[in-house]
Formats: sequence, structure tokens, C-alpha cells
Amino acid sequence: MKLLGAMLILCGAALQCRVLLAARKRERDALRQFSAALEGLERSVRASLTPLPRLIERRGAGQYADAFFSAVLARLREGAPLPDGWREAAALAPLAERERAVLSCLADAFGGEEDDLLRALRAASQSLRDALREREHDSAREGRLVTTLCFSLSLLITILLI
Amino acid sequence: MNEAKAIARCEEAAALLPPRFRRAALQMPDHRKQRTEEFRLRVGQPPTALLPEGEVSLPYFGADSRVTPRDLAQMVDTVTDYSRYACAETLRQGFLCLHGGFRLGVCGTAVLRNGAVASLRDISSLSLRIVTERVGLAEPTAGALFSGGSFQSTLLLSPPGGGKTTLLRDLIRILSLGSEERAALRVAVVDERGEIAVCAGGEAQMSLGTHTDVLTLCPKAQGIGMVLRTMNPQVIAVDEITTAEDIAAMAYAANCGAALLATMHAADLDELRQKPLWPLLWESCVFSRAVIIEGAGEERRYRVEALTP
Repeated sequence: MKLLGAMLILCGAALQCRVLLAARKRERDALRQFSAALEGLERSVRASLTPLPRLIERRGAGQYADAFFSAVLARLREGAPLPDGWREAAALAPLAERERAVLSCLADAFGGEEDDLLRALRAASQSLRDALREREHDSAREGRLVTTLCFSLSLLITILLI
Repeated sequence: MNEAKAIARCEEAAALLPPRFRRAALQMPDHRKQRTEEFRLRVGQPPTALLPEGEVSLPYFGADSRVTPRDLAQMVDTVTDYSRYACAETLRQGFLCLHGGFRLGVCGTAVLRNGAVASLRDISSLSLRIVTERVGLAEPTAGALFSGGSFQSTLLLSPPGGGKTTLLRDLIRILSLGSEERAALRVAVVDERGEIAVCAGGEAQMSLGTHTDVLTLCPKAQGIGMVLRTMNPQVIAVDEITTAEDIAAMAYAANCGAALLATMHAADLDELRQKPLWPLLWESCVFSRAVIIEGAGEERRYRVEALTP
């Protein structure tokens, strides 16, 4: 019985590790997609001068970025101005608070001159890339730390139980 | 244009105004809506509607009826889909062509780069023009512009605001569609100021017939050569002849066998002959007909004359 309990605790710890690491991975994927999507927007604005709503309609930036752009478009179809729709969708993006703010602030550049918009897109994309690099740097260390902590804790409980 | 359609057009235009003035425009009585030609917004002044007899204030009931810079910036952002860069070329020339066939005139502070206007900032005035399309207006006149089954190069004359562009647009449509008596002609429109076709997103917002090719925002003198080389037009239509280069390009097109259809500011032939461009125009022998627009509003009359010195 004690062995079964110990096994369950170890499984729980493994699961918890997995959940935590998956959340971290999701955040990194989202950062990667958003920074690439903003870079793509910047390139398209510069090259084709296509209006933003038409650029946002394009898909293929990945599930998180696509879901974000879909939310913006849905608000546009409801008649909301683009900056409002963008800010509302940014508030729900699967990013940390700081990166959500970066994404949200981009809406202030909509409607401005081309150079200002391009600068804002570049800056936001760079900021998200920096955040991604930071997370990737931390991820290996965090992974080891989380795994060690979870298993140490579970082993401790297991020993105490046995 | 019938009354209901004119009212609907005015209401469509009102929908483009900043939200706080939209309701004011919609509250205008129908007899005003149907005669509204433009909405005008100037910073620090109440918004107005331009009627044939002059400007009237919109019936605004809010706390402050004066237009603010924010109202104007918001309107430009809305009509450009928050993508001013996509309309930068026309915006720096002071106008925007909008979906639905509206035209927004923009005034503000010019930003100069290398001596040329690069863009406009600090927008101070907007003029939302309800471009009129009067399908069938030119039907009674069109027949007189043909001789031996061929369309004769024609100059449309009236003072500013006399309805030249409206007539030009309907003539283009008639020539391009053809009829039982006349074959359809390939018409190329060099729409330098975007007023004839009012192209938005590459699509003409006005009906110009089924055999019409539109070159937008290109200077006439260059555009005529371009369409001649690329579209093989039978008729080339342009608005507002203003320079000697325009006339030279038209003479070249006429020598290549294309007929011309153009407008020019002049109340009649006598005034036309006083114009500095007249000697050039006459020497070029491009035009053989003139349509003189007389009167105003519903009372307009169209007189066709042979063009002689």
C-alpha cells in the first residue's frame, strides 16, 4: 500500500513537472510566433503597402499568432476600431504581462506615418525576440531545477511514507 | 439621381464622419440631405454641409460642436483602416479616394522632403465629397459627338463646379458600353486626381462601362503615353487640361489614331480662346467638338459646337 502511494506521488511529481515545462514551452512558442508575425507585418507594410486589416487576415504565423489575429478581426467585424480590437486581443494573448504590454502598445502606432509604424513593429518584434532569448536561456536551467525540486520533494515524501 | 438615392448617398457619407458628428448629419432634414454635395470639417469650427446655395451648420446638440484635431485624425484613421501608409501617395497630394465613391480632401501642414511634399500632418480641414454619378446624363449629347460612325475628339467646357467631370464620366460609360447603333469603344482613362473613377483598392467606384481601363494618379502627360503603349485605346479620357505637356501628349495620341475626351475650365468658346493654352490647343488640331455646359443644378444644358478659332 505504501509502495503504491509512493508510486502515485512520483507519478504526480512527474506530471507536475511536465505541466510546468509545457507551460514554459507554450510561452516560448507564442513568443517565437508573435515576433515572427510582427516581423512579417513589418516586411509586408514596407514592401506592399497593404492596409493592416488585409495583412492581419493572412494566416500561417502559427496557432497562437493566428488565434490573436482572428480575435482582432472578429472585433473589427463587430465595428470596433483596429487599435481597440488589437489591445483587447493582446490582453488575452498567451504571453507574460510584460510581453502583452509590448504587443498592446503597438496599437498606439496604428494610423501614424509609415516610418513610425515600421519602427514600432521592429521594436516590438525585437523586444519579443529578446524575451524569447531570455526564456530559452533560462529554460534549460529552469527545467533541471523544476525536475530536481519535484523529484526531491516526492522522494522525501516517499521516504517519509515508507 | 432620384431623391431617395441622393438621401441614401448622403447617409452613406455621414457614416464616415467622426461618431459625434455622424448623428448630427443624419438628423438633417431630407430636403437638405438630398442636396448635400460635401461635408466640411475645420478645426475650431462647427461641421457644415455644403449645399448648392452654400454651407449650413449641422444640427449638433452636444456640449461642444467645434471640430477638434482629434476628430479629424480619427476620421482619417478610420477611412484609411488605420493604414495611412497605404494611401500615402494620394494623401500627400491632399486627398483620399474612399470606398463607395467618396473623396476626402485633406488640408494640414505639409511635410517637405527634398523640396517636395512627402506627407501631411496636423490635419486642419477635411472635405468629404459625395461624388455624383448621373447615369444617362450624357445620352442626349453623345450622338452629336460622332461623325460617320467615328467618335470625334471632344472638349467639355464649363466654369469650375459646372459638372464637367460628371458629364465626362457618363460619356466614358456610354462610349465604353456602346449601343445598338454604335460599337463599344476601348476607353483608357488617365485619372490623375482620382476624380473620374474614384478608384479604391484598385476598383473603380463609379460606373465607367465594360471596356474601360483606368490609370490612376499618373500625371496626364505621362499617363497618355503609357496607356497608348499598353492598352491600345480607341478613346483616351482625361480631366482638366492644365499644361502644355498635356496638350503635347494628346496631340501625340491623336496622331497615333486615338480619339480624345477631355475637360477644361471655360464658360464658353470665347473664354476658351482667351486661355494661354488656346494657341497650342488650336495648333495641335486635337479637338473638333466642344460641349459647353450652361446653367446649374437640374437646369443644366449641354450645347455641342464645332471647335473653330
